[in-house]
Amino acid sequence: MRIDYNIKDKFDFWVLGSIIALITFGLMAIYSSTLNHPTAYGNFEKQLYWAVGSFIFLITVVFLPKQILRLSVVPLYVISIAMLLVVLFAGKTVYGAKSWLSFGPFGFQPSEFAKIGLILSIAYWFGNRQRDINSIKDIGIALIISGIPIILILLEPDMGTAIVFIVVTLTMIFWAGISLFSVFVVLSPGFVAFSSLFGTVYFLISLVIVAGLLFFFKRDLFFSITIFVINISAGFLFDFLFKILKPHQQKRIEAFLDPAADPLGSGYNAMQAKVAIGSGGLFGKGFLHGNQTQLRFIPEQWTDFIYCVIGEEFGFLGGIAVLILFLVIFIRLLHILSQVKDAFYSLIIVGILTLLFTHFAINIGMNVGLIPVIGLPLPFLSYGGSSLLQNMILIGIVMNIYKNRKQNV
Amino acid sequence: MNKSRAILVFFSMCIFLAMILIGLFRIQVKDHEKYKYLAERQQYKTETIIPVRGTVMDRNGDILAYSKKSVSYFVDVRMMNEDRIDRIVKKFAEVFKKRESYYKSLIKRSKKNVKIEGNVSDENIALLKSFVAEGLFSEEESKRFYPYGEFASHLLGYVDTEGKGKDGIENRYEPYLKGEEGKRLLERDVLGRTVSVMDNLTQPAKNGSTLVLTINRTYQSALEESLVKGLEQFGGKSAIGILMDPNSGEILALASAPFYNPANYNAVNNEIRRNIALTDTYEPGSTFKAIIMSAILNEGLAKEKEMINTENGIYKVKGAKIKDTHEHSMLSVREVMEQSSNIGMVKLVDRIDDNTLYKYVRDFGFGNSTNIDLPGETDGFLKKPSNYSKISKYFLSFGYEVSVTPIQMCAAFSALVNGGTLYKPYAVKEIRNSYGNISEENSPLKIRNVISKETSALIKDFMIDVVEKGTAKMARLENVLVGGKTGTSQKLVDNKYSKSHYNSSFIGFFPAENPKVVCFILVNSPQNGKYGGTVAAPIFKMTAQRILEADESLVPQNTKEIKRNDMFDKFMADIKEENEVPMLLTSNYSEESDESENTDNNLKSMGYMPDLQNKSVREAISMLTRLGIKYKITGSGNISAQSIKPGKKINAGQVCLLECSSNKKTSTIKLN
Repeated sequence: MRIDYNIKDKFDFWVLGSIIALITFGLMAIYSSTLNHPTAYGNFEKQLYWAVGSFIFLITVVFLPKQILRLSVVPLYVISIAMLLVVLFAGKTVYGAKSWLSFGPFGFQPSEFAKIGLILSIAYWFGNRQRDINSIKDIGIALIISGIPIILILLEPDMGTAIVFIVVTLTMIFWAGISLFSVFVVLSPGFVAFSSLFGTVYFLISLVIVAGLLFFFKRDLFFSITIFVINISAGFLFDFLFKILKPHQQKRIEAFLDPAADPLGSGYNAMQAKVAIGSGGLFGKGFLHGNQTQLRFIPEQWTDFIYCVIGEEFGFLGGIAVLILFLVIFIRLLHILSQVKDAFYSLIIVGILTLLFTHFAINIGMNVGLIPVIGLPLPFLSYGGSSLLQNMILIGIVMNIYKNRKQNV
Repeated sequence: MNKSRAILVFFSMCIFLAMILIGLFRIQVKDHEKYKYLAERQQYKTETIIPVRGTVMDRNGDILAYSKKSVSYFVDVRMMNEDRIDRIVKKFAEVFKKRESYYKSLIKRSKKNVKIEGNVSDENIALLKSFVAEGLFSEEESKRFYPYGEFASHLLGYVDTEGKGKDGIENRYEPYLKGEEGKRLLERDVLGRTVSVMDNLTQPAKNGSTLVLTINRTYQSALEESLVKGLEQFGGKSAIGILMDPNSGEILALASAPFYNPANYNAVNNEIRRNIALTDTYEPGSTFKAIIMSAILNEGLAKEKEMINTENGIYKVKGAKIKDTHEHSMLSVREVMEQSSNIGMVKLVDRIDDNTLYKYVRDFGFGNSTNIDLPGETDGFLKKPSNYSKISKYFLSFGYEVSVTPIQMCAAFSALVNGGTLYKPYAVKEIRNSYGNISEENSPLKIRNVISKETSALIKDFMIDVVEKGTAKMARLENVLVGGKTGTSQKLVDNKYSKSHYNSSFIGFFPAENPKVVCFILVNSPQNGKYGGTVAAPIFKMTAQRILEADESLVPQNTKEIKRNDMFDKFMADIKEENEVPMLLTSNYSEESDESENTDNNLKSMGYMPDLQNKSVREAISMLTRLGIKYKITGSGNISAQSIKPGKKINAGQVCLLECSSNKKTSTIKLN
């Protein structure tokens, strides 16, 4: 049967408008921060072409037939893994991570592309009604699906993207309807590991809490002990992982714990970002008048620290405008989520929402000094073609689902 | 659809959003000022703009000292590596055309900052402007130039390496000369390179004021050259000279040899740099007699022609033995000055009571600094009457038991000859701000009247005689009448008056009719000769001659073209016509000149050489000048011999040598 949709039903203009506004903001900030820059001059134009190109992709994805999502899950996942493997051998090292594949003048990051594959494949796995979300086997398989790309990305190494993958996976598992106990099983090793970061005492306290909770859930003894052992080993493993982290990554974590200790070292960027945003004040210094930006106190500002260009030049009001635009997108995604009945599509939207939100929260969090410096771009604003293209495709997928929502029943 | 999970997801999102919002608010609104400060601190650098130090010029606008900004380049060796050194060395070798190894060793040798090039020319600055190297920086400093080198060094002082004025004018007028620093705000990028200068926030430097001195460069160089010549001729440790306008207290020249170059002040020690005309005291000796005499005359305690028994050169009083250089049995009060008789002074000073004398000497400025606008001046020492010994006053009468500075003597002598007013000496005429407008002006400051006009005229006249017929004949000038007083004082060495170290001084003034210049000359420990009349007076003469050559305005208007002999005549005739006695001629003299005039009239028509035997010098001069004969006089007293025999036919322009000897008998010179 044929339903006559009006244009409003086909497109969510709130999301579309917000994205265009954010891209515009981003282009202005890129223009400002690369103006007269010796090496990054021209980034504005490149980003502009990427923006136009990726917008065409978005529209294309919206008009793809809805079956294509299910059909493309396996090929996308396989291609993602393949590219992540290729990049480990043939990749170009940028900023200490072997994360770039280049074809002549054209380069992109497979880890960006893998995000689509990950979200679709996890959604596909739990979207199947035969799965028991609370069975260890099914959760384990889900963890393996996401674990392979995460390990490959960690090997590049790209901590930031790996964290995003972990958060997206966990949120999707949570959304799939996992029980409270399973949440505990999944999260407790992370909790213990994180505690171990602060020292032995915290590590021991966290173990006591885990033991107490195990007692509270009253599962059988063998199972409880297994969980506890996993927790203990998680603590040691994390300590081990911390040690194999690159020195600059260790320093970043240390710098976050005490940013003033080494203001010219790894705390430098965090400090300069805060100074830029803080000196912008309520109304900002005006477009192209942010001297912190123009004098290049923040290296590579057009990528991860793009938000502080806006904070400096457009002030608190500009900063809030960006937050509101993101908020509009998130609320609209939640709204679409509420209209989607199919578990597969619902999980996809949750994954995309989580992905965007994680990027947004971590990036802005590090710009304003709430969390340590983790190299993650701000969606739609940061300079970088693959990231923008990937985000636009994700939005295209959401809008595809939105457009076809009434056929999903 | 799991509603509670959706709410949980939404909730955690909201919490995170709220956290971001709070974080943003905190740094952008609450702590905005703090971050603004941090941003400005790293983005802006305040640079001081140094002012250009003020110019010092003489009274006619000749520049004696000026400053120019000079740029130097420094290298911070701690920031150097081989590449950077190579780059810098290469560039500098190319620009300054020196060997690369020169700069390299300069940089390698030092530990911190090293100046690799100083006083860089404007064109080289332009060449280096675009050259940016980490660790290389330039600094602007003000450099002081003294175009005449050692000229007026003690008067001007010098500027130390920190740009502070030390000694002299540079020191005393430091607040005016130094100007005010300005500020320039530079915007710097992350590498510390200057991106732009914030013009709207630039506060320009205020350059130092220009000082116009009372000094006359011509006078100063005349004085300095004469002092140097004098030292060459007579030997001695040092020579001091001061020229002062007696009618205002303006210092026209002030010097003490040996000099030094203020631009290279480190080459000499403090001893040489000290302005001894102000800082060092000495016992004035006979020059002081004029001061004492004026007090006695002003009190009316002596008449000029009154005869004083000078005891044939040795006089014992209250256990002290007073000696004269020239032994005379009797001298008039006028002659006591003329012949510089110690015994005469001792006898005369007994007439004035201690406190009155003390008041006069004090009023002439002794025992107090003159407050001249130059640093380092000392007070000297004047004994209070309550501390007098039995013989203190006697010694004071010929210039001992008192210590004075050259500038005090100069000021006191100005008062002696200017009609009796003591002026404060000063060296800066006016101060002009950086726009060229006069901001401050020094005008003559009368301190007090010390003696009456009449006394001043009389003592002036006495001192003319000192030059004309007394101890200072070597100070006489061709065409201008000079007055003055010599002084020869033994120096205290190890608390005993030395027989070999003297202070030889002469204080003269000219033109004597209306003194425009008082000139003080002091030679410290001369080797060849010791008397003020033979050491200091010739230096005075050299100085005065050069000044008169350069500055004809000092030669009295109506006699400019006339030879000095005629002028002197005319001067006497003028006085006679006006029938005024007190100015120059005394009754004693007018009688003599009356007499001579009668003879003159006879002589003039005859054109024969008169017999000058036993005539007084003045008489002889008067007669010879009327005949148009030039003369040269040696000795003192009355004429004892003449080179042109009496009755011989004479032509105008001939020179006649006259030898004088005192009828009171001249004998070996001891000490005056």
